[in-house]
Amino acid sequence: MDTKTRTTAISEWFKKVSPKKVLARSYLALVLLILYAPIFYMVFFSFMDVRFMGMDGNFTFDNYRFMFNDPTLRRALRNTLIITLTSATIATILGTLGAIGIFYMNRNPKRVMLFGNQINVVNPEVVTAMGLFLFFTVAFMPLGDLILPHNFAFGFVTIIIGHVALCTPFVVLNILPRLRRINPNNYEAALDLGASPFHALRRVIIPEIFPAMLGAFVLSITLSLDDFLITRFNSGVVETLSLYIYSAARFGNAETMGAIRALATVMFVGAISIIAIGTLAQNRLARSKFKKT
Amino acid sequence: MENNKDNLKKEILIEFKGVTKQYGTSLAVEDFSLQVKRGEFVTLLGPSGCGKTTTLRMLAGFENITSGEILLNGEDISKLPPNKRPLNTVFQKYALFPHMNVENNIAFGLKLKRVEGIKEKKKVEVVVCESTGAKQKVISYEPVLDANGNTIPVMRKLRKEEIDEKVQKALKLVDLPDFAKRHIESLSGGQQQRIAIARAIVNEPAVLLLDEPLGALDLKLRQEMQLELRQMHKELGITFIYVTHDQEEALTMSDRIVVMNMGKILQVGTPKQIYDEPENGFVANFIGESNIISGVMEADYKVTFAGKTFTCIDYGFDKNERVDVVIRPEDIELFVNGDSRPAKDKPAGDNTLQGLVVSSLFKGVHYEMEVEANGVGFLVQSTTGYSVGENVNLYIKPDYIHIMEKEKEANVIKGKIIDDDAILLQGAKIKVDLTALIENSAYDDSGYLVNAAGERIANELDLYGKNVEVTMAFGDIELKDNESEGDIKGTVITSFYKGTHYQARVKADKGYEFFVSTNYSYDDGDRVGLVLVPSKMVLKLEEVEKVD
Repeated sequence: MDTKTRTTAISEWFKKVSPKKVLARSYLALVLLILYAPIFYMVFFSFMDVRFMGMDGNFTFDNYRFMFNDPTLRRALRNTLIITLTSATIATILGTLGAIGIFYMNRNPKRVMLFGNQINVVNPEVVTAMGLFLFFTVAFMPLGDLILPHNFAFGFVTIIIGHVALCTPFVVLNILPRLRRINPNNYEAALDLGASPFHALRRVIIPEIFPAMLGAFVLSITLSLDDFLITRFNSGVVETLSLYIYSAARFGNAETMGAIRALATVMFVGAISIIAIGTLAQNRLARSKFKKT
Repeated sequence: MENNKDNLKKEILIEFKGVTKQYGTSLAVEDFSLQVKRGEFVTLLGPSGCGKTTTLRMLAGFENITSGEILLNGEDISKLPPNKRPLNTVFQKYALFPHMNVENNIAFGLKLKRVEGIKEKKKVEVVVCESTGAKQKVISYEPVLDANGNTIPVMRKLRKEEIDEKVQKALKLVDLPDFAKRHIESLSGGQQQRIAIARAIVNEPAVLLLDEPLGALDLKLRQEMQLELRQMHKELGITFIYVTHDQEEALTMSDRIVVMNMGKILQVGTPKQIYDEPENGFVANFIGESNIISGVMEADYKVTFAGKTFTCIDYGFDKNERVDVVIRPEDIELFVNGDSRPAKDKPAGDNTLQGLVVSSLFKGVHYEMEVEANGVGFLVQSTTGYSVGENVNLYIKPDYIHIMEKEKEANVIKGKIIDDDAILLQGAKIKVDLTALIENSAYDDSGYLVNAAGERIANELDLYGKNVEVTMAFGDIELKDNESEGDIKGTVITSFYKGTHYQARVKADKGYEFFVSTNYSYDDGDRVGLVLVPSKMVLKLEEVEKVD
């Protein structure tokens, strides 16, 4: 290649890659770096035998070994799974029914309900947490003593109620747009073909909003898993993952600190797997719909 | 005799008795009464918002009725929920269930159906084919007997085989036999509508309701489906109630048409009756194009319009009664002097007008021409075209002249005196000259009404609050495009050309229907302002009986 063709090739390249494009690409790269660098940093240090990230150390699997063996952490994980799955399930059912109810309301009550729902979403969580705590001590405890056998205290029930209160408004907001997309005649068509209102709901409405319900369920799991404030205020003696991570991060030794890094890594891999599986399943479903027989 | 009456009763499948639907303060459907015979194809026709869909939805059970009764086979069904009514609906937007395939959509109703039968036990046998060794399940049903050896009657579900057979039959009927396993989203609009029809008729309903089912399809497909629906109606013998705003569709398909506007029935009749003998201006104008011209009934069989007296076939009107004359554009025959056609086809003298071609447009099957004769514009459709500026003769056969009673001679509105020079009319304060009402009265310098002696008389006569009747000719009201420029605001209900001008019917927001002559064409639903010219108002005090 002689010099002339090389220079033209280079100038061609410069023409193709305009400064605007370079700027746009590097901006994107920067954003992605800021988003993911801390996570990869943490993943890297989950394999190091150091107390704090950034310290000099050696490669090890000890963090993971400790994570799977520490009885406190295992108990916290078990509690969290119970709380998360229960509250996400309850919130999804409650929120779905609520959304359907709100959707078919008249204009004014609908507005009131949507406004009420909105408050829960924008309300600072610390307020909700405090409110729940006061509610439980003032109203729930005396009542609890009446209904339940003695010394009813903060614990699973209060956390789950708190998490349901946290998640339900988000479920409603997730379901409503999907309901709006349904042809309003579909429900009527089901009745017209002889279905009872309940049957029509079960066989026509629910299947159509099912993807949104699934999304709401996953969202609820995330919210519940993440939640620290409501849990902290209403947990009593029950230990959960978020509480464990919080205390370990502040007062932990090298072992627990390493364990929470390992734990975070496992959770991150889990989240990525869920997203990947979900996307694959959706693509397959879309393809099967248009397959002609 | 008694028997005959019973038979007649049986003939009637659906009966609406004074059905009214009210939303808040507005009436969507008002006093709707109609009888539909078994096996009939009845179309509810009208512009959007006329109440036709509401009527259908009340029959299907999706809307409660405010008052009245809907009878099916003589029983009131208006309180039944939709799932308990033996009717099925085809919706405009198909309303197929997107998460089910075609087969499951069609089978939806069948799976819920219970039929009379006897208690049976399902038996499954596995038969091994001797030659191939393949195993095959054979399903059979055996009746379950009670202690006395009798069969037990029950309401049973349909068997899977029965459902499959019915679904296949329905798919064949709509011409999509191989579509059972297809997903709804992979179908075209036309195919989806066919599946929606199959889903409804597979249940063998007493009545099939169709709510503008072809509205979302393109013209060619729509015409194709019209014929197919008509064919299906003949084959199945099910009563069809069809809703549409397309007059051509209604004329093509129906046994009987119900023309509606503003929640009321305007006319019920066969397509031919509706087309040939419209009962009022709205129907004449809505069903095809028409010339509607003001005329005067000179005597029986004699009507004068466009400056000439014509022979017609209508009678029974008062002498010199003012009427509206309806002539279809294709019923006017044009010919020029010296036409070479046989003399018997060449009408002359009676029922002929001389006119001038003002515009001419080729429309494919015919020419559409505007011919002016004695100051009246006629719309004419003819296969022979004449050029603009040509002098032609218009011949109208007596059979084709249709006479309608005038709906209104003048606007007569009730109002109330609220000031010395103002009345309250349809919610608006309108300046008027009250001197015409009271003898020897005049206005003083400050604008008060005074008698000959210059004394104020309003209080003495107890004028304030008195009712007045205002009469105004159609032409003395002006329409303003900007509604706020008018004294009274309203909505145009209909508007049609009357040969020399347009006649608009404007419903004031307070309810009175004004008839207005105007030079401009308005669309239905246009918001307008009405300006009442005070000098043209004829006022009359409403007589109040005096109590001594």
